Amino acid sequence: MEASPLVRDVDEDVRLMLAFRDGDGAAFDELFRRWAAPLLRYLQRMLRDSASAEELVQEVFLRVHRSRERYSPDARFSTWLYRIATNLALNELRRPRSRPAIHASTDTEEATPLRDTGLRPDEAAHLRQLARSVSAGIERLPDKQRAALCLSVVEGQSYAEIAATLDTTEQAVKALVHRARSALAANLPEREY
Amino acid sequence: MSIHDLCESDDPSFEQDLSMLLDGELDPLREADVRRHLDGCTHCSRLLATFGVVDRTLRAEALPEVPSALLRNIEAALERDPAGQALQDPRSERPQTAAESARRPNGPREAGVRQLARPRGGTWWRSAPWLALAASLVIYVAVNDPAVDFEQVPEEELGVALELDTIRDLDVIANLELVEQLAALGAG
Repeated sequence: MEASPLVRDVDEDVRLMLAFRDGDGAAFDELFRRWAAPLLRYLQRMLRDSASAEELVQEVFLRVHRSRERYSPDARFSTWLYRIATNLALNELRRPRSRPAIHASTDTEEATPLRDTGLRPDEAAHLRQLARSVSAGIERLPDKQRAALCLSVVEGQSYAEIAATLDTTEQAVKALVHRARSALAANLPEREY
Repeated sequence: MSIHDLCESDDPSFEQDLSMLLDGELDPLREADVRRHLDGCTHCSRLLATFGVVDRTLRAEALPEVPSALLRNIEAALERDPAGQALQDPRSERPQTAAESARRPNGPREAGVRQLARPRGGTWWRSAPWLALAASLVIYVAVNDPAVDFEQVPEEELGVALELDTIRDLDVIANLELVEQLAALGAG
C-alpha cells in the first residue's frame, strides 16, 4: 500500500523539487510517482469525473514543470501542488459540463473502492455502506466545502494551508470544514458509533 | 459560562470545536476544556464519534491507479510546447471568475495537453454570424406562427397538432438547409 501524504517525508518533496529546478529530470518523474495518485483521487472527488480528473492531473504537473525556475520552498510542496489543482478544479467546475459524472450514482460498490483493510466480511460490507453514504453526501456539498474537507481530512493540510489554497481566511476554512463534516455525518446510515 | 452550558444551549461554535479537535486545530488550552467536557457529555461524545466515522470513511478510499499514459502525455506536451506559450496563468494560483470560465465552454485548457475525447461542435454560427441571424429569424417566425394556438387545441386533436409540429419542424429544417445552401453559394 502506498504511503499517505500525511506520513511522507515533507522535506523529500522539497529536495526533489529543488533538484528538478536545478536540472534533474528524474526528480520530476519521482514527484509524479509520489503525488499523481493522491492528486488524482482528490480531483476525482472534486470533479466527480474520472476523465476530467486525469486531464487536470496532467495540467497540474505541466504547470509544475514549467514553473520550476520560479519555485521557492517557502511552503510545503504539496500545498503548492494542491493549490494549483484546486484552482484548476474550481475553474473547471464553473464551466458547462460536457461529460456525465462517473460518481453520480453510488449504488455500485465499484464507485468507492476501499483499501484492503483485512476486515471481516460484515465489517467490510458496513464500511462499503458508509463509503456509499459519504460519497453520495460529498457530491452534494458546495465545491469549496468539498475542497476544504478533502484537503483537511484526506490530504492532511492545516487550516492555514487550506485558507491559502482557497484564497480565504482560516475562520472561513473552520466553517467550511465543519459544515461539510456535519452534512456528511447527518447522511450516515443509522447505527451506534 | 461553562463549556457544558454551551453544549446545553446547542451552541454551534462548540460543534465546530469538535471538528477542530479532530483536525488538530485547537489550541492546547481549549483542547483540554473540550476533552474535559467530552468526558461527561454523551451527546458531544457521540457527535465526535460520528465525525470520526466520516473522517475514517473518507480516508479509507483506495488510491486510484494512475494511467501510465499520463506521464507520457505530459512529456509529449512539453516537447510540443516547452515554455507553455498558451498558458494564461502559469502558476494557476488565481481562480478564474465565473465569466472567464464560461468564456471557454469547450476549449482546451492548455495547449499541449492531450485532451481525451470531448464532444465539440455547435461552433458553425461563430464563423457565420449572419447565417445564425437568418436561422434565428426562421425559427422565430416558425415558432410564433399566429395560425396555431397551442392553448386551444382540443385533446382529441392532439395527434393532429403533433403532426403539425412535425411538419413545422421539417419546414424549419428545410429552411435552414436552404439558408445554408444560399450561404454556400454566396461564399463561392
